[in-house]
Amino acid sequence: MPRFLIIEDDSQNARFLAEGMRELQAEVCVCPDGVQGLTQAVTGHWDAIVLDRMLPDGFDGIKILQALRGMGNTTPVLVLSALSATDERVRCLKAGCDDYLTKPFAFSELQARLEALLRRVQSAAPAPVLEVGDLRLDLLSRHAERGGRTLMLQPREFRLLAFLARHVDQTVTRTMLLESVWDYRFDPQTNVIDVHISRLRNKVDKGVEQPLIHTVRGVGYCLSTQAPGL
Amino acid sequence: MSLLHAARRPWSSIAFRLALSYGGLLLLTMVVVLTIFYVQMVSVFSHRMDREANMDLQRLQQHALNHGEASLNQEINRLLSDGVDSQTEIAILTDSDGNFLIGNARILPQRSFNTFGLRELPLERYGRTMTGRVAVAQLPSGNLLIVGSDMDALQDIEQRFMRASLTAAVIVVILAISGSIGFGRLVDDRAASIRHTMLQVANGDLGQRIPLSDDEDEFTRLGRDINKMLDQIELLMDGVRHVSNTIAHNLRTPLTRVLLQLRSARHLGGNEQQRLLEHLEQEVQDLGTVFDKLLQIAELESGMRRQEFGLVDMQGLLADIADLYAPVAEETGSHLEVLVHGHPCARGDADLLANALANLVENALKYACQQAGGHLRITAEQQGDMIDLRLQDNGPGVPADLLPHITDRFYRAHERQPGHGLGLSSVQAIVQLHSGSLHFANLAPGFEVQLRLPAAAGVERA
Repeated sequence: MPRFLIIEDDSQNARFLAEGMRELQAEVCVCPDGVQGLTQAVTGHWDAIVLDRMLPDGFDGIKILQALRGMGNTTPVLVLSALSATDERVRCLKAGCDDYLTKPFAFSELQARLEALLRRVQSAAPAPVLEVGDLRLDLLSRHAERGGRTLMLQPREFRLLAFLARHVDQTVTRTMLLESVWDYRFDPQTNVIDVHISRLRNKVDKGVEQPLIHTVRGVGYCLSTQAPGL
Repeated sequence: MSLLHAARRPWSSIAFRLALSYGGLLLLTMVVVLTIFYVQMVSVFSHRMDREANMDLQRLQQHALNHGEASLNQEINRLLSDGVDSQTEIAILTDSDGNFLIGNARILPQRSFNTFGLRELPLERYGRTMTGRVAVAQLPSGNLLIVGSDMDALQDIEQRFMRASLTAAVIVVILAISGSIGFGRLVDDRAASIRHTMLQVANGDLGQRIPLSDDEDEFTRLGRDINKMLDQIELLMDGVRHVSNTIAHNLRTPLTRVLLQLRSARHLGGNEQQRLLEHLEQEVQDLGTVFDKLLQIAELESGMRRQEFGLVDMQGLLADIADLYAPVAEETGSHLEVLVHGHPCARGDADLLANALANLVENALKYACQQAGGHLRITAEQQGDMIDLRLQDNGPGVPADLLPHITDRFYRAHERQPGHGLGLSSVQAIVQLHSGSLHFANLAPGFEVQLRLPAAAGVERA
């Protein structure tokens, strides 16, 4: 069971976050201020910390983050912030946070990003070959096959599939895909990612009994041998 | 108005202080010049008196040597009565004890001399005491010969000079002070008209302007610049007011909708409630998006992001955009092509430029490429020090009278299409951040967006 620490001064927000995470079978602890939060972060054992950027009493998110990293603590930290300016994001990343989410956000986005954080820690050294069911991706030779049949993929399609495979059984959002596969950070207004996924789906899942690429409604996509429960 | 003139103590006026300082300087110059003049004049004058006294003395001594002292009386009389300088001339002969023998003045008090030569001596002449500048010599007989002139003339000149100088000084001081006050008033009056207007503006009357005179002087120029600034501020204020109104409208309307729907959700049951809640979640997320976009535009307009600029390879960027959107175009049987000449490079933020281009491409796809046969062509090339980027589609274009408004926030030329009306506003903000320009034109048929960006300096053209 993953253990999360939430450091957030808005009690309503914190409560909703905690409830959402408990629904996902996670153990959650909430700290309403920076000092308590840092103490908990250092003494407890956490899989990830959700940290509010702005906390009362001048001991804000950045300071906690710096203190934590200064002590050599490498627990993944996801910063929640009402500040959307780019330099804020850069400051937080420099201070050592692993991901940054601007308020307001959908809970599903937070969930997807937290799962990605957990996964990143587990697979620090990526395997050269990824296997999901009968799908096999060789990252070195850039070769993809499904059930022994070679998939003719464009380079970008291969990256897209590789990203999904690296986050197997995990929901990834459209924003995450654009950031990781195309290296751009903006919010497309149209269904551009959906079109790419549908093309990929045509190549990967067409004519196969068991589809691997699943749509998670309102959130994003998931590569899995089982249809997600959401 | 009382506030304007409350501080009318002359010293608080810079013009007064300047004029007064200038007057003071003038006075000082005058004193220095007159002092030099005075010292020179007096020294020349007394020098001449000394020389004449010496010359006369020598002549009389020579005469006594040549013709005997007895003939000296006659010579002295002749000297005194020759009509030259007779008003000021002094010649006295005394015995060795200083007793008067002959001459036109007496020494006061009677005395003898041990030293000879030039000196000032109190004398009595025609019953009047005065100071004489005289040369004294002893004749072989022991008698004393005293020759010189009355210093009254010199003193008289000195006095006249001092009086004239003093009068001039008083006039200068009076002129300086009254001139300073006058100048101060003049400048103060001009400044007061500016301050009057500024006070009215500060009190909220943004329409006030400084009255300009016909003279092209400093105050007119200052006033014109301030008026120009006020015009700009008024324009910006109008813009801000308009933007806040539209923002308020565009956020309040969906918020009201959400509230109403939440209310009705209470009475719904099961599945229907579930669907409504999902719909509401989407609606609130959309609101968040609108909010983010507005903040992003504000952030862009503030120019803060310029600090993170780097070199952006436009060819690579356009290739990525094409890669991202070509499948979307193909979905509807449309075609997207990218033509780049050379390797234009811009200095900027790749994410923002990609965002702007994605926005423009999405627009074109939305309006021109909904049916088969739609076509979008993106071209880029460097022209001089600018990168010229064009997106041409074969869609319906935008009615000419709407063109000037399409970059306004929340403006939507096609009301039926989904969107927030913020896309082109953010494109405009991004282009402005990069010091570029954005133009729209209707082709026949089709629509063209022209985007011009400064090329990065020092990058070689391939």
